[in-house]
Amino acid sequence: MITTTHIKKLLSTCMQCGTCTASCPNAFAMDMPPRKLWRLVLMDRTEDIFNSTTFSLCSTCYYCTLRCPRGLPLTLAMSLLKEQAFKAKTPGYKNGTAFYGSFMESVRRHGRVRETEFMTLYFMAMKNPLLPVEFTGIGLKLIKKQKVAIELPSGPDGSNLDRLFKKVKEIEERP
Amino acid sequence: MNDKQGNALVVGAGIAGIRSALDLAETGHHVTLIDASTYMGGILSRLDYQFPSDGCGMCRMLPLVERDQSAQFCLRRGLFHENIEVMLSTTLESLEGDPGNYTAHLNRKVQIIDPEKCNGCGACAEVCPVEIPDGFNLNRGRQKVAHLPLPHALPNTYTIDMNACTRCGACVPVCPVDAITIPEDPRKDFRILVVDDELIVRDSMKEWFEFEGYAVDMAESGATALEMIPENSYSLMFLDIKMGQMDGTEVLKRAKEICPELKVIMMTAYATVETAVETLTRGALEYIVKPFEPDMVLTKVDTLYQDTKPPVTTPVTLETGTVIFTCGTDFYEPSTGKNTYGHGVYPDVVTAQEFERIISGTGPTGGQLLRPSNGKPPERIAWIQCVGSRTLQDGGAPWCSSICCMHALKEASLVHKKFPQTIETVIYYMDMRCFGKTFEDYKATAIADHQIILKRARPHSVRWDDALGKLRIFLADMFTDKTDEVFDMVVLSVGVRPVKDMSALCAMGDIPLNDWGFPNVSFPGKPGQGVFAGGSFSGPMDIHDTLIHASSASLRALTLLHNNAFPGEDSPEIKSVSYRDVSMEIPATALVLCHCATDDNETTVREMAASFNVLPHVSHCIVAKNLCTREGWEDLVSKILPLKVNRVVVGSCLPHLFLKKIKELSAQMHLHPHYFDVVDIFQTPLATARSRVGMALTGIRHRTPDTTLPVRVEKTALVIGAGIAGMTAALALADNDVHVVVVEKAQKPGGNLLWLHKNITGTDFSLLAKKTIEALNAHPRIELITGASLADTFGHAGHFVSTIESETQEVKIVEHGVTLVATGGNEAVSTAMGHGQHPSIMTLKELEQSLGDNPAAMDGVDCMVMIQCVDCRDENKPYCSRVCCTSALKHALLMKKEHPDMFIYVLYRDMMTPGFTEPFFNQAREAGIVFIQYTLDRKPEVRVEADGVTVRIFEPIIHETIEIAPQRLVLSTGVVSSKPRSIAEIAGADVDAYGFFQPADDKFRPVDSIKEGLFACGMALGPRSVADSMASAETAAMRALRILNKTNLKAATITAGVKTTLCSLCELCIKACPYGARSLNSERMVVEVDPVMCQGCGTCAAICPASASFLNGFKDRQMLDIIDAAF
Repeated sequence: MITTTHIKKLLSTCMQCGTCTASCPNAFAMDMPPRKLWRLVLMDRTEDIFNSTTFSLCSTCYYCTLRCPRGLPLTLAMSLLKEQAFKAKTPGYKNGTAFYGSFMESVRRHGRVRETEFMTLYFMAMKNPLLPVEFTGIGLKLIKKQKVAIELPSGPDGSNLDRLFKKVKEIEERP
Repeated sequence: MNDKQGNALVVGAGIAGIRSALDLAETGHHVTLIDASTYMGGILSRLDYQFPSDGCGMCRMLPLVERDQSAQFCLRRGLFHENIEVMLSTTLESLEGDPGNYTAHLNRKVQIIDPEKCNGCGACAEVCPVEIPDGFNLNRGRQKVAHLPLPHALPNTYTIDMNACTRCGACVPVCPVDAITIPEDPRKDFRILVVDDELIVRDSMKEWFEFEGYAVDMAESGATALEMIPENSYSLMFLDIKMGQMDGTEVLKRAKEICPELKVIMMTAYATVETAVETLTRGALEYIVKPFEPDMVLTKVDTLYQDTKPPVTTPVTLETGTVIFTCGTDFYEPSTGKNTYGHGVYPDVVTAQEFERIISGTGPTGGQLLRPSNGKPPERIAWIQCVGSRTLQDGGAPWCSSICCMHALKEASLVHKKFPQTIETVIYYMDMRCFGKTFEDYKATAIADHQIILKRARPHSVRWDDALGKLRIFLADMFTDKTDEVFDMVVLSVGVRPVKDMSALCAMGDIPLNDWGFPNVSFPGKPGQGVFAGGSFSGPMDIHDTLIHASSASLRALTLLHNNAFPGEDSPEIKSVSYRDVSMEIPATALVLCHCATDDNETTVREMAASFNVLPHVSHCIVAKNLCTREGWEDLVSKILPLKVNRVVVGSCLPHLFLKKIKELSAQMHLHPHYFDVVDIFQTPLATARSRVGMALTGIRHRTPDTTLPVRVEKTALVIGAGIAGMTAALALADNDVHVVVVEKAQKPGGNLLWLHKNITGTDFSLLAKKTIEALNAHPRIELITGASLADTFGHAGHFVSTIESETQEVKIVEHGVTLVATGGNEAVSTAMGHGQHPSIMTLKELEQSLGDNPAAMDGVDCMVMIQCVDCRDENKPYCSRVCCTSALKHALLMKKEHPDMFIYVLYRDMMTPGFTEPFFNQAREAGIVFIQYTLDRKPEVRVEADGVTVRIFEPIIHETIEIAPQRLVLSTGVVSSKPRSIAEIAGADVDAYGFFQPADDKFRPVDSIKEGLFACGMALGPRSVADSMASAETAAMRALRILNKTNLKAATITAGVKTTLCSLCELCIKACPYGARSLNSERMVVEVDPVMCQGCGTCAAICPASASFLNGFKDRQMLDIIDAAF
């Protein structure tokens, strides 16, 4: 069941001053500014919240948390929204679910992220044949600068983090 | 101690301290007024202009009855009252004893320049070689170490800042009056011992320290050092760790055994840093690593010296009956904390207080508005509100500072009024708190006439734009989400903080502190208190409230003094000094002209004296030398006493220096001070000086004796209205031995208190009402007449006669000395927002009453909407009613507590929760109450249908109109005056545009009518809370007691009169008199002037077509002669 009640509690003293919106470096790309998102949380408009991609664009820079005059944990609230969306697999967060899922899968397998593998997993998860084309430009640039190694996806190797991941899952599932 | 030792001690000589001191002084008590600063006036001394007049009106606080007791001139320059002793640079160190009988230990800073001698010539500042930041101008600009602490003070004596003085001594010989004594350098008493086995280290350290003035000894080994320590009292030891025989660690241990309080700094090379760190645990203060720079070591020594340096103060012990703390307030320092606004980083970012100095004529730019960064005029200025207020971050200041909104509006208005009107001013705010009666109107004028732009947004940071050379502020406003704007200057409206030594002071006075570190002042006051807090010391408040709370504190102090049998005395003038009657004598004036011993102005002065000596009414002409010095003055006194003169005119520089001396001379000569005059003959060109002396001589020749007779005071007060304000005032007066008649139109006393249950802080109003009514009924000196009203009143301050009509009793005539109007206010009736169309729509009062009658009143209500400002702050009632926001919060919080699942929406324009009500606004949000802001052009819409009520409101953040269907709709319809127009008019008071009592001055005389002897309190003055009503009631009682505590009222020397033979009874003067001092005696058919009410303004004399009205001291013949003498 998707809920934002626990997040609402964290944000109750919000006074809509807009410091978060004005501070957010990603606000330009968001479909609604953070202040509006928090207002929807306070008014229990769950559907509108999860139809938005605002929280998935939070890059955890902590500007808003640092500057908020009420001292609200806004970055934490963003993460909690991501968590809710991830768990509930909301359609609006499909992109984010696939992206973070692929990232973590690569980490699970090797104890670190392998960029090409991560992106391949992401493309597969998104099931969109045209998607790789969108990333070709930046991919080539990164390869040229030797930021990304070309490796084929492989199964878990010796350094896999399976046990760690299992433990985390177990902790998360505790009542 | 001198004979003026106080009955009361007032700590803090800001506006509140001055008010409290004057209150007690006017009731005949001796007051000692102290301030830690070198000047008086506190925060107000830095503010040249105050809203709403955008001028200064501080002088309106001066005494109005027995005006002659106090010097009648600009109060910002100084306070001179016979019963007040002012002690500056003085702090309260401790307090012993019980209420009514305290011993206060004061510390008075030693004055390097003797203020009794200094004549303010400024020679010391001219030669002083050291410059320091200008503290009065908040460190904007520089000043000399020898400087004037307050540019406009009178008498203006110089001071020397000993923290920065180098004791060069340059000022001592240039002082013409030998006022400067520089004390010996206490640095030589700060002995330093340097212990090191290396000679070069010892020698160089000795040289550095001795150059700075410290006494230095050296020891080449630990053993020698240990021998030297018990023999000399060292303040500090530098100790090397690695030494031959005994190492430093061991020396430290033994030295600490001999002298535990000795401060030790260890010296070490890199190799032994670890050892050095270890020594810190054994009592070493710190360690320094060799090799070191002299500057570094000297700074450390200087810091230690400053901490331990003997105080340059003299202890003063004072016996006092009561103490009032009016120490004012501190401000948030924006450069501490995260400082996202860059205060102290970018010169163009200033605080509101700094901005006040920048635009002041005595400020660093002489009143020009220039950008501190480049000295050019600004084009755009932004104000950012709530900096360090309403914040839960940075240590937290969850209160609202209450003053900043109006302060910002005033500053922005001033910019438009005083400087090029092209300057754009923008105020960024979250809630514009214009909660006083006239504030909303001031805001409207600021927007309409002064083009101030108000933007609802909170800028989060300010950054310097290098390319533009301007400041860029970053914010999200209501329309474009993320934006930035460019300004030349940014003014931060910084919030208030409790004063630095708040907890120490309050501990001394047994005053409890509230959650936010301010004193908890309770209404009504608790019995057994002897120390009181007043003014902005007790919480954030503006001048109006500060004066009310200062007078409330002085009333409590007065009651205590009264109960402890400290009788207030009638003024000494009436009591003792008898003046000789000179009315039948031919004017014989002694003209005294002064010249300086140092300047060569003696010839000029002698020539001038010779030219005036020929005038017939000048009987003697004395040329004196250095009257500003004690010797000079004593010489004059010895010369003048044997002379048979009846007028004295003194020509000198700095006339204000002679105020006190003239009073003394007047007593010695038994000649009324009215026959003395002092004129300035040196600060002007010679021709002007000559006319001034001529005018003074002519003016004084015409002076006639003061013939007004004292008026007997009827020690009875009439209080109209028995709500909480009326009852509080009546009790306060009755406790001070005044007979009180309380008239209430309802059948029982209590007023609004009868339907109120509790306030937001949980004070039980039913209990308060019960206790107060009981006290009222039980008091032997209070007579309560219910079901009655005032039918007629006439008379003057000290003696009114009123007719009381009552339904049950017969008509009653009351003779009384003062009238207090406490007619109160009611909730406004409204048909807006569907009120009256559906049972679920009710006003705040109806809600409160429904809850009281029926605990199950809210059953079945799971959604409640509250709408604020219904018919308020618009064309219907253009003022804020102040109580509704707090009241709505109270109900919302209570409701949420009892029904946690209820949805509560509060639709508001600006939440008016000033001061310590702001934390409740926050609590309400925490409790889950949703606040939606609306504007006048998008008011909420209420639709009433058979099945219920729907409210449509535009939500500005989500940017869509939402619809709520509440089961209860509560409207805040505001407060209106309880029709006091007729009552007020009968009593002779003015009524303002909103129907409330019009005070003589909104800020400086908040409860007085312009007509002396008439006061108002509570909601009759304007909407206010129960606590504020009680404070204003105590203030009104205090103001009344100034009159009632006297047996007789003495009129001032300068009052108006009528030549009845010339008077045509046109009555123009009666209408013109602003003080209601004139009336037509219909029996004798003459116009009479009440000398007590008359304030000597002269309006009547100017308006009279027949010259029948005149002002004593300014008669027609006299004025024409004076004009002749001027040329």
